[in-house]
Amino acid sequence: MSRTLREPTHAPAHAATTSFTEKFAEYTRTLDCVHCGLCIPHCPTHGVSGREADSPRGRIYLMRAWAESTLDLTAEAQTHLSRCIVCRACESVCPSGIQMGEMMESFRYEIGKRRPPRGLAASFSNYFLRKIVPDRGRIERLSDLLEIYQKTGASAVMGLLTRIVPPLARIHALQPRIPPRRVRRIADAAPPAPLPDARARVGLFLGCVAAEWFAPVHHATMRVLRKNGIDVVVPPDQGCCGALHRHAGLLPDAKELWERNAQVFRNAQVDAVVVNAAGCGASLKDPPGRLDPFDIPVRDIMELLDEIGFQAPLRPLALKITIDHPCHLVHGQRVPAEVVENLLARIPSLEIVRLRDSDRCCGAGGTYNLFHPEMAEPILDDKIRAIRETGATVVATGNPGCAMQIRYGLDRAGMRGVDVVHPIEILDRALE
Amino acid sequence: MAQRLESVLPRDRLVTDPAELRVYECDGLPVHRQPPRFVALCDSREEVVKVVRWCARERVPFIARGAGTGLSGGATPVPGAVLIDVNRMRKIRSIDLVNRIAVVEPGVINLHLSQAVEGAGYHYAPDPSSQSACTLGGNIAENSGGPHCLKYGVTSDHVLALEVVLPDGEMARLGSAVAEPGGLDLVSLFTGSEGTFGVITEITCRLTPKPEAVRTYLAIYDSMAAACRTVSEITRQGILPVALEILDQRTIRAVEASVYAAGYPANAAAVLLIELDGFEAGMDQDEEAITRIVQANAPLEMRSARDPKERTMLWKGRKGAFGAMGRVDTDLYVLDGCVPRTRLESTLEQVYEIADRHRVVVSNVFHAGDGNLHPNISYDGRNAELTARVLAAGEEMLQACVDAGGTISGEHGIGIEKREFMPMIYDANDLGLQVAIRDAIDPQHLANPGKIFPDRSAWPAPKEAVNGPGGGAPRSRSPSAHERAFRDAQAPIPCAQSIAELADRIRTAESEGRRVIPAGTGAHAYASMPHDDHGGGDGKARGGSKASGGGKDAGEPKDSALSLLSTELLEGIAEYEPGDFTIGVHAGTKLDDLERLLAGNGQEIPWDTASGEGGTVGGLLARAPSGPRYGRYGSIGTFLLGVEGMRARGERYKAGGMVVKNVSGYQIWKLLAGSHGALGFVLRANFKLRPIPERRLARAAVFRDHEEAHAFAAAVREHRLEPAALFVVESSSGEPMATWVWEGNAPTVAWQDQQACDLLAGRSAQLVDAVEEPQARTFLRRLASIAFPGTTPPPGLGIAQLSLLPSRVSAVSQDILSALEKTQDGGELVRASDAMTGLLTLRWRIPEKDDAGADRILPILSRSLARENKSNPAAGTVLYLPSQARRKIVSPLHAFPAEGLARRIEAAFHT
Repeated sequence: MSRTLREPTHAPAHAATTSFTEKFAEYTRTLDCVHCGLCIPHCPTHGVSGREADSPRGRIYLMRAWAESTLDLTAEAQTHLSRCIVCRACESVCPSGIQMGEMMESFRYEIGKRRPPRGLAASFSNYFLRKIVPDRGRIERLSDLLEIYQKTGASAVMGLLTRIVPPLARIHALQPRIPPRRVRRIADAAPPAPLPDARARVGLFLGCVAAEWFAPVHHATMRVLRKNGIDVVVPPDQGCCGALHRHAGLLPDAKELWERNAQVFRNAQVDAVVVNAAGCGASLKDPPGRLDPFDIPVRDIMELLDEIGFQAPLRPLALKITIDHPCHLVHGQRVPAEVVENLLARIPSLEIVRLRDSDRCCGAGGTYNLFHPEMAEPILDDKIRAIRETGATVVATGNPGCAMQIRYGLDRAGMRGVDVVHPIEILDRALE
Repeated sequence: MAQRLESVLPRDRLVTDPAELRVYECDGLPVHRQPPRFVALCDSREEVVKVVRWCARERVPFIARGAGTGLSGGATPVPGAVLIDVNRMRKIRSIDLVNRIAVVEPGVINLHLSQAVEGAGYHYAPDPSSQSACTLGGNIAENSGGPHCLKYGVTSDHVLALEVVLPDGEMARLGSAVAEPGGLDLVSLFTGSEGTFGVITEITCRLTPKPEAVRTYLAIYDSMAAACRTVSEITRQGILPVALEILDQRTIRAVEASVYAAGYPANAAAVLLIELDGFEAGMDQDEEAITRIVQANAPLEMRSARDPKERTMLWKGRKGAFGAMGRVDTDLYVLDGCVPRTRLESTLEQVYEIADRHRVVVSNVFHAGDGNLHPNISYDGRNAELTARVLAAGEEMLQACVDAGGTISGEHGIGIEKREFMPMIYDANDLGLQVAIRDAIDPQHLANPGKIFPDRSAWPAPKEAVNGPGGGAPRSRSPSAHERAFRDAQAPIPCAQSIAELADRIRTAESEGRRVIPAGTGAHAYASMPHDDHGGGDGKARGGSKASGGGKDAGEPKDSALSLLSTELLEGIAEYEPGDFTIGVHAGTKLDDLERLLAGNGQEIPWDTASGEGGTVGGLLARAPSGPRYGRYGSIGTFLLGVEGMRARGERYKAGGMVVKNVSGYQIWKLLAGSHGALGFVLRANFKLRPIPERRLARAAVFRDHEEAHAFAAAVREHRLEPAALFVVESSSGEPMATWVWEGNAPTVAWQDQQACDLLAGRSAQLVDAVEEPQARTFLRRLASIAFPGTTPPPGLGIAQLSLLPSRVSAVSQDILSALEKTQDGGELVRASDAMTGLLTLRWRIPEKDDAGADRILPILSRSLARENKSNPAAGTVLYLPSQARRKIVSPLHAFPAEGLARRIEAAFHT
């Protein structure tokens, strides 16, 4: 029994394999699946419908059969494939090491080329992703408009309008509270003086809309880092991480964005790129379409603090909180849930209540909640139920999309008194 | 057609899209593929009934599917079939921790049930490696095993009752939440029937307390042989770990490359996972013994995991092994042979040799303690030539298991995959009986057709009966007292001298329009039950009462066209290899002889008969009595591994085998346990054995009153102590007495004994001195004798047994007593409450009346049971009555056609 693994007991390459791969670049990854089904209970969409085609195993089966040309991919089947949130929970439990994220991106790209999505929603999405998101100026103007919209009461009028046009309702309900303009323009602000004995120098990744909408989180991140003796720079030319584009199968756009960021952070000469959005972090860590990874380490803010050692003194914070673990942090980046828990547990008097299924998707998935409410809403409902069970007054979650989604869910459930924050904001609040 | 099905199910729960249907074309075994015609995603039992009725009306085959993780193609459709997907039926309906029972829907995931009760310290014990995904409905259909089944038993040992939709769309309730020993065990028949009897819609299962302590060890070897030797030595020494698992080199490497990496060293040839569980007190002793054995086999290293995290890591690798094979090649063929434990090493060698010869890549990860092998063949299914070699190698490997005295499936089921291999173990007679049972339940073969059974043309001709036991000149014996009294047997009873003679006699009787019914020594021929007297039974009770006899016994003795035929001369040991912990014995073997033989090897089957009871193995099987240790170890059926029997036309058949895990075909052997002779003759029975415990200790305490005694028994149970027997015995003269027996390794016994004594403190009880072996065994026999009327019972004696929830025994027992006191019949009454099972044995005697006086208690029992039944499951059985008024005490539990079902199954044995 001295044979090695993957011993070629037969002709290694099949004549047909090449064409399968042409059809679908990540086709060979579908072959990793042995159909064991261990992923199924972990899939949020299967949890809703109970349909095999809404499970990782079913979706891989469909993709493989389509690539091998044994299946005519019907509109129905395509719907099930598009319903994958790409939460990657399946990757965490797959003994065979399935790469669902990459498979989905590649598949959506291919299918998008063959059958471009049609309809108002798709056009809107494409416009938003390709025209607004990559352009900081446009994001800033959009944010200004939103701020005015929310302040002037136009929002209330809109609230009425949304009853007539339901998809608008969801966008309306999901919009986060836009912080004031002076807080938002982070990259434009004058950089703080470098720390004398900095332990490290990191570059803060801002994201696209998050750069504006979640500016307070960025400020908190910078404060916590500096208090821990870490210098922070914010390279101004950075852009969107491309995660949303990858979800939507817009791979060329994602690659362009990726290369831009790689360039920007290389030039910034930092020890690491720090990301406080789980989705962006996952995207920056795994380059799209098998590009080479960044030549500098990328770390989630909590991961970095855990790795480098938290040093800042903390004061007691008498709060009852619960922690939601964003999919792209625990599954996408494989940052163990304990990392966040242990960091927050350093805060005296802070009561952390365990959240049931804390690593299960909340249904946000970038813009998923806008296009697949039939899935996103029941998934969110369960998340909100779990939060309610904890009795916590604060939910900490390390991803802007999840924060917006959970906020929306809490509001809808009449739980306005429960705050949704980034875990770094809690650490920030506890800084002495 | 889909349109018409829409009338029974909402559109959004019908899958009709051709592309989407493709994902249902296979389960965990993608070798066989066939998309269904539609998929019906059912949400409730009512919907299942509607869909099955629709199928029955349209004559469309249907297949139930849970998570689709099965490994034998059991959920793979046949052309044109409707797939009934129950994975949305995920509700846990109720959990009763006091009585340790859960009621769940079939789509509940195995692990989710355990998670729901783990906070309270319980679990659902069977743990297939896919437990995080597989459904309980699927587990029952396949009778799943799992690594921890070595100690806790397989699915079948944990299912109490089922609600099923039969293939004609009728609902049936089988079994009940209360322990009902004896009777046709339809629950076990349905368990492992692979969906061929209908769709399971509700499951009542047993919850098991989680062990106080768990210790896990990893022994790393540079040779597979050393790992196997360690396993056999551990079992031989009478240590019963909860799991003994081996992973071979290739498996180790694949697992280590996966997310389930457990830190197994990559240069090892084999790792052996050993897990002990139980009371902390007994751990050190077993640990020392195991360490000694492991070290004696020259390991590279031995590790131990004491904290849950380390343990999870060691197990993670084992549980993820199957999926991790995806790293070896694109497809995986998982085999599931089971061999006697002593043949493990040699069979494994053959497996590797076969793989080499066929040039296929095999890795082995298996339940070594059970002898359950899982050769995994990795291959690329797109290569047809390779696939053919893989299948050929697989077949040879299974043949090797069969040749070693094993079987072709230990826990995965036959499905489509191994249907063609069934002839390796069963001939035309064996398969004929199984199919006859199938026909009795599903005459149209609509429920999961095309599974388990090969085409009739492939059935091998039955082999000529090789020399069985017996073989002298024709003989007969005089009828026993019970046979004279209860069977109307005055003439000598013929005793078959050989199996051939038995067959001849059956055929002769048939040709004369008579039916012969089995007898043994006649030791238990004291009661029987005509059919019409126990309508409303749940089908478990063909003789309803423990009618019947010391040989196996009787169908319908009141009919003069019936005559007794004894198999008591067909005795002897057919197969016994102590190292395998199994034995095969002929039906006429005397129980006392068997016990002596086993004891000589430090082994036993944990049943207890009254001293002087006598009787044969066949008779024991026919009655399947509940002994004092029933609560701890289960019924006789639990220990039965296989049978050989004789049905109509003198046709000899076998079912099951000599291995401890076996899901090859229906569990007919379990059907025979408690069949009261209604299913023809038993010729041979195979049992699994247990080591005689190192120490056995019996205790008793006298209490001031009933409440106190029962409260103490409940406290022992609540404290999760594990007595081998725990009774409250109360007689009309004398104070209530609680009595209990400990078994196990010496420290465990001592610790539990101390715990129980501590529980006594503060109660007004008087502890009686402890009794050790051999008196402790005698003590168990005395407990057993409460249910035994004796060879010549005194007049006015009656014995009955009530099946109640353990939490209700005390109340019902008092209820009966006060009702009896009102009648002022002035007899003696002994009440023995089994606190572990909820079985209440009543033994009364009204000496001054005539025999019929004993009957007068029956209406009181009936009324009491009927009252209890209004809120809790309850059933009752007459064990002995001197008059021939044979009645089943009410069991109006189940208003379902299960009784008819039992009747149809019975008929299958007689046609």
